[in-house]
Amino acid sequence: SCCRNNNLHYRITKHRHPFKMSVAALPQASGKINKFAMTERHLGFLQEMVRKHPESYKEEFLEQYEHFMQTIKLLHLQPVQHRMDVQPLLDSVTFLSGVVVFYAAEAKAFGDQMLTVLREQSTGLDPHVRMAFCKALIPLRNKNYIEPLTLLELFFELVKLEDKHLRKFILSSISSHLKVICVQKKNLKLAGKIQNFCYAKLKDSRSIVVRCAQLILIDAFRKKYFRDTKTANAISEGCFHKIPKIQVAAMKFFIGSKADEDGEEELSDDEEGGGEEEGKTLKEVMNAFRYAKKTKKREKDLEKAKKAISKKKKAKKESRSKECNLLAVQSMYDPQEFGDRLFKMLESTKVEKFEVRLFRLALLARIIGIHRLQTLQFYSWSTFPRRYVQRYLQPKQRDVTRILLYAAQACHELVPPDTVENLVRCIAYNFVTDRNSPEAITVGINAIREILNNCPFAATEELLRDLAEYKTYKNKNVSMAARALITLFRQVNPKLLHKRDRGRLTAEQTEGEDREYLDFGVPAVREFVPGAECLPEEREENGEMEIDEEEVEKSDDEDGWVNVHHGADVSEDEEGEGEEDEDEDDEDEEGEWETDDEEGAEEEEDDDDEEEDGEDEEESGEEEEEEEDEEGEKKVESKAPTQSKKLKRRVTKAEMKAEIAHVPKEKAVKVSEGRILTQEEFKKINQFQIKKALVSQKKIAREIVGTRKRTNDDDKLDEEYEEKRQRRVEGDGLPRLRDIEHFHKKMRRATKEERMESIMEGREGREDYGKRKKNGPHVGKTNRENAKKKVFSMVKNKIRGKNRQRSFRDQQTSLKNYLLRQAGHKPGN
Amino acid sequence: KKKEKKNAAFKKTKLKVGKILKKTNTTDSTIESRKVVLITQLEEQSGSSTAVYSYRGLSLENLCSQLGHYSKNVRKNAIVGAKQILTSAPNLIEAHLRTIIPAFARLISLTDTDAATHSQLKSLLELVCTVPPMSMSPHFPLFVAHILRGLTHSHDSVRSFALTVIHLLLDTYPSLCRDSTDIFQTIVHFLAANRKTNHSTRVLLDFVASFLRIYDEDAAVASHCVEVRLRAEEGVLSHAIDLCPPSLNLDPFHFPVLTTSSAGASSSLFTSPETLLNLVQALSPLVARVALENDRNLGEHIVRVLALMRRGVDRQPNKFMLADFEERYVKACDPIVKATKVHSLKENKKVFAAISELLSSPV
Repeated sequence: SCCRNNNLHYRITKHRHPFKMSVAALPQASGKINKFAMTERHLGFLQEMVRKHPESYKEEFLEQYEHFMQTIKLLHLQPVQHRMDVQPLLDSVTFLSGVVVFYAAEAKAFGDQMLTVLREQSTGLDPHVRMAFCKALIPLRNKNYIEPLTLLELFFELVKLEDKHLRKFILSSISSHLKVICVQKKNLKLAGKIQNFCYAKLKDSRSIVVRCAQLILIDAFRKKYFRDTKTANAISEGCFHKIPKIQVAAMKFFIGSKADEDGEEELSDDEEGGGEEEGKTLKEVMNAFRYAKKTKKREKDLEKAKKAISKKKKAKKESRSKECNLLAVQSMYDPQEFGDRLFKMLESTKVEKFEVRLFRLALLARIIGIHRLQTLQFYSWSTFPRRYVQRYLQPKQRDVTRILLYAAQACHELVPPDTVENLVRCIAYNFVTDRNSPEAITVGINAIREILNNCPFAATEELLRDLAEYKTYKNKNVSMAARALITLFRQVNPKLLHKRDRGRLTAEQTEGEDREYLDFGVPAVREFVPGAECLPEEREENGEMEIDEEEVEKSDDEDGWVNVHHGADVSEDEEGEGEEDEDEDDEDEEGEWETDDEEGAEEEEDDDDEEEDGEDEEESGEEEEEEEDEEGEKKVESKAPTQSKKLKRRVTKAEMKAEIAHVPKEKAVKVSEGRILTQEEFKKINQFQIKKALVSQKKIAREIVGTRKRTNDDDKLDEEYEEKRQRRVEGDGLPRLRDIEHFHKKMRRATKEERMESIMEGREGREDYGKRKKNGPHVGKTNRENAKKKVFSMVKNKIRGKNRQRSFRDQQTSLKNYLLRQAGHKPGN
Repeated sequence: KKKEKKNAAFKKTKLKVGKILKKTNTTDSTIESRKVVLITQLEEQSGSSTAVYSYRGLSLENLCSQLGHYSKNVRKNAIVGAKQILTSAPNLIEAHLRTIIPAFARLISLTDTDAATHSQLKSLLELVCTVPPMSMSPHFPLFVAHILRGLTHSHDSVRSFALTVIHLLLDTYPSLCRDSTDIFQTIVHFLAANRKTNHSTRVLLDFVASFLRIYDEDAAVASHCVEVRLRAEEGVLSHAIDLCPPSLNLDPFHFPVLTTSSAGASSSLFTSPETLLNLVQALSPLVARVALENDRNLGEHIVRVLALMRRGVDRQPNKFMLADFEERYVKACDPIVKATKVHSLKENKKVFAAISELLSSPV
């Protein structure tokens, strides 16, 4: 035995690096402990050593490796292991997976063995062992000891097992692998293979496999690994899968987040809250806290920072998905066919959950809206009385605001007006009646507004005027909704409104710039770049150009008749005031309109028209004068009002309009026909357009509506309209739930219980008032007690009596008092 | 009175408080008799008569589950109990092999078992090994897998114990062991790696001897030779070939699967000369070392091992398949050759003779 030991030792020291020799030399002295004593108990330690010097530790590695191979053989025969044997196996797997990559031949065999066991005994294995094997395979794949596709195939086999954690792990590992392939290594060939593999798996008969492939593709699309039309279309097939869960996942992918649909903006308040922790990562914040003194405030700050960071992360994720769902919808191969199939599913009488149906409705509406599809049954489907109107477009219907939203999203310019008209009429009948609650009316009017915003030609005069009547409704929500509708049509098609509601034409309207369609199916063809009139006709130096521009306007502005009308205005204004009393804005408004109605009934249409116009002009004239006084320099502002004034003055409006628009328009045509505009010039045009818009806004802001001054509500409505118009241009341009559920006034007050609940919620996690609970080391002890525990030298000087140097006089008096007391006298004299 | 009788049917019974009326629609099943006579005694249930319990009143199933207990002592007691049950009712072993084997064999590779428990376990396994090979054969691979797992364990004690158990198997079921590739490979590997165990050299040599002996028997070498003539022009064989000749002493369900792991693996000593060389290479350092020690007591053992090795070489029929067999054989024997040059070895005549016998040209 001794000889054998020697032999062993010889073998070990032959090619070892110095550190190892010292480890091996130790046991010789102590005799019984052998050289493995150190390593056999500490696999982690051994792993470290092997990493440093794989060649010299091969023997130890092989020992573990062979044992593992025997265990694998056992697993083939008996996959279910005793629970006590699981932990050692897990340890050895982690050890080997960390180390095996240093030995090529063993690595290959190791991977293959695990693959076969997982393939053959997947169901029988202990879940932890299974998971450990899967985890161990990942580094092998990364080092190319296993074919990535083989492993992917295995993973898709394993997904079939009912093991939630394993599934989660598989999904995340595939995702991270894709990240490595697509972002770091840019191995597009392999990525394409994986992509095709996933497409194939989408057609698998097992639904869980399909779901897994779908999740991978969706994730890859969101994270930009596979962001192409092919993937989007492959995912879109999922909408027609037989399993509702897969349908929902696919539909959700295209619809995007719910917050987006609702039109909530999370980012804004987050940016305020973030503040100082803006640039820091979570790790930095945590580290800063760890090494600083722990105070209550810092703790609180840390919590806050953590929350802010997680929120930011979430918002980031959200925004990413937001942009991508639009892209996915846009990149469909055949949206019309897709929409038709979706509609067929929607029509089918198959019993399914309402939520699923709602998703389908949402997706269909979105696709119709974005691709301008002609799925005409859709509108009648939701309105056709015999079948669904009773169920879907009723105020009592569940999630009716969403359904209204989808109806609005599905309406676009290319839908025939009569179809939309039916839809609008249906909503009006069901929602906008006095017997409904104010909330229902508001929602109805809002929905109609959104629909008509998308297809203005569906509006009829009669219906619109009926709806406009609601502006005097006693509930503010309703009246504001109606006024918003009026604001919309003032811009879009004022002719349909009652004359008193029309307001004044803006410059843009007279020019017809902002209109995309002149009539249904008649797109507005532009002969020039709008705003090009700001450029000089011939290309010149910059300085001259501006002067030129102003000159043009000045020449346009020669109007001496502003003052003339001011006089006439006053008299009529007085008349108007005489009729009504003006206590409050709202009431005033109502009263005025009522009287107007009466007038309208009495007089003929034409007369009414003229009178109204006259009133308007005069007011604006007044306004004009003030403006000019204040800002004489800004001639630009006065241009538009002047135009509108002129317009109304004349009997033949159209002629006049043409004449007025003539000069800048002609110039614009000349400019845009004469040359190719440069980038700088476009920039200039943009600036000009913005300026013009601002000016016209300002003008509107100063305008007086009827005989009363503008209220905050008017401003609000205009702002909202402006905002909405902006939003239509960017993104998908579809309305959001917020538009439908827009209540200007809070719907109702919270009850006491609700208030208390919210208060209690705020108190959560806060300390109670009153005495703080103390639990420090010295709590509850007197200083004397504390002093007893101190080192004597610390308290030596505080010993009672020694630290008090009494003066001689004090001593004398106290001695005297003492003696007197002894003698029987009373103290204190 | 007559009137009373007439109205008896319609008489209303007066209810007393707290008294319950008898129900009219139920059958009264109370028995009134002087004594009850049982014709036969109550029979015991059929299963309970065969159930055997240990002294502590535990059944075999209970004990098997206790064998997987975390506590060392519970496990130890369970081993004792199991042994006691199985000695008292040996017929149980064969019936319960399916549960017994995994439960018992698992214990081999536990690291925290002490020597006393090991000896108890060993005697228990010896008891299990009294089962005839026929009934053991379906459970044999699992049993072996457990043991071989123990043999590659990193703990000394586990390894030693596994060696003891595999020795036991080699002695008890030579035919089954012969059919297992895993056993051959793992043991050759084990010997080649020179893994340390707690056993003395003598035990090791004994083990090697019995390992070699299982391949030494006639049954192992018996190859079935058939002479067939093929007439090329007619394309007909002279007579039909019976691929599975009826064997006399083997059981008809014996189909050894020689390879369990990879396809090209060597199964035993006699499948290819390659394996023979591997074996010689693995054994020669051990033999050389023991020969050098020149221990009187070991002389006999080593001679036996050497003789077995020689016989193995002689019996290998396919040596011609390797062109450089001779060369490699000498190379494999190199440690032994070196050992012969040491002076002290020459004094031990028996051993020297055996070695020279081994080294003489194999072909």
